[in-house]
Amino acid sequence: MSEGLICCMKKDIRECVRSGKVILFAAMVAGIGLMIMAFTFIFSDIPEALWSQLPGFDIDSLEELISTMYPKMVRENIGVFSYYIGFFFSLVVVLVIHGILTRERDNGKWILPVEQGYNRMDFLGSKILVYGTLSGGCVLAGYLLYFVFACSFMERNMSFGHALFCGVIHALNLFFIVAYTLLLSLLYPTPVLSAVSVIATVILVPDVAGYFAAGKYLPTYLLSFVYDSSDRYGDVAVPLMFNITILAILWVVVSNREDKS
Amino acid sequence: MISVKGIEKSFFGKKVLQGVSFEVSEGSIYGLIGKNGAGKTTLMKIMTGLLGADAGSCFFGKEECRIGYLPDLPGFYEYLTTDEYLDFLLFDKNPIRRNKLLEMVSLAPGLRIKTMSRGMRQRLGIAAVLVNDPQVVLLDEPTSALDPAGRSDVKEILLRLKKEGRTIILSTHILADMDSICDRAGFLHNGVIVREVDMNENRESAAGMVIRFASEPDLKTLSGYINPIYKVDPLTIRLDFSKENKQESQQNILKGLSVLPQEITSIRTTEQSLDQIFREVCQ
Repeated sequence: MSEGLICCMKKDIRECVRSGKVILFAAMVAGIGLMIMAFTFIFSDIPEALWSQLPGFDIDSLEELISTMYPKMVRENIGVFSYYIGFFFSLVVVLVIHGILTRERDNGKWILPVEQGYNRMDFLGSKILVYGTLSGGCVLAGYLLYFVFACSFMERNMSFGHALFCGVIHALNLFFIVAYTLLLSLLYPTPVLSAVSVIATVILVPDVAGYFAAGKYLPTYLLSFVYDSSDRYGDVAVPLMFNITILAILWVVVSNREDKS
Repeated sequence: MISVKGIEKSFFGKKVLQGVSFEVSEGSIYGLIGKNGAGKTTLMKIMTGLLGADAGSCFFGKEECRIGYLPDLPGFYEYLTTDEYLDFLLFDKNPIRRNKLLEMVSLAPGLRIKTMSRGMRQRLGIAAVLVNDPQVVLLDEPTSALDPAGRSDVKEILLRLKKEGRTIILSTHILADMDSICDRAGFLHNGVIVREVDMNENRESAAGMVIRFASEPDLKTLSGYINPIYKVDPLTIRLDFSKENKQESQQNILKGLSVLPQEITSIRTTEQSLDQIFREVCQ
């Protein structure tokens, strides 16, 4: 790691802490976890409550619906938690970070450091590593904590090792989302376009790709893997390589563009 | 000696700089004056290499010349403190130099940049520019948007830098600041340097006279010898020397004053202000 990159990372870590982003991201993950856990227990009591008020009511289909939405088995329930993280948390992360690089560049914050020898790619690399690790770290910690709490209150059908693997994959998902958002923000005419394209991809593609056999090989399959709490660990290899390759290509393209400018 | 020759630059087919040339002596302060949009910032960016010129060259006196450039309204990382920001620019390698730079610009360590006034940020910017100990310092509008106290602080720092032997080029549209610290000034208009003024010579050479009388003077008689006569107040007048024939106009003034019956209580000369030159040259 270059000196410039390390110094940029120290600066960005300070920025994350002092601007409250650490608290925001951690609070979001915790909030989503509490919400899913609460909904699981509140909603599971609804059919019984309704049956006692309305004796003729068909609670079986309602119970089935609720158990699908908020299952009481650890593996399925943590999949719901992962889905909400993939949907809401990544939406917030993208909205928070999509303009940070272009704002720094356009406000002239890079001029003085570049004069002293910093490379523009140091700023990009540092933001990706710091914000990627922050969001991924929050997700991993949240996932494992949720697993521990879920095991205490629900039927356990998932091992810790399996949870750890899925947690790491989901953390990587957030890392890639952050990286794509920041790289694309420097390529598109405005960073809003990068936010829109990443959010659209994250929200729409996993569900659509699920209908196709080839969907398993797309970069977005890592999200579907976690949503299903899949234990076919080998299935992540191709999407992971795909993500790394796309990131590397984007990095080279952005680097060449920044050099030219 | 910094030598700028024939710099040309166009944006979207519009020529902003059309052959800018000037020279700056080592260890002096050169002021670049021009209206908003004259091309001062563009010229500075070309000199620092941030922008490419369409034509022309810029030579800083030696191959390995360290240059520092402070843009107009520099951007800082707001969540850092003064010392953290300078440490960042120093790659966390030189806390002693960091402290020295803060002392040079009279800033305390530990101040959060977010809470600093414009004047303090400008001083931090100057400290930042000095990190690599540049021999040439380019400052784009260093005193604009500052209050009088802030401008005074910045001017003091610049004079100190000049004493250290650094060459400073600054751009501004605040002529009073230019007047008090620059050794030479160049007026940028229509993409070229239309006039250069040696500030020291300008201060020494008179452009006119201000005369005060003990009682109201007979301006009708005086106007037979010299015109125009500017009335400063009922007892005081200002007379400008002719640019074409200064000596003749001085003689005419003295002839006119000698026939006036009113007693003269004081006479002083005035130099041509930068404001006057600016209006003459740039409008």
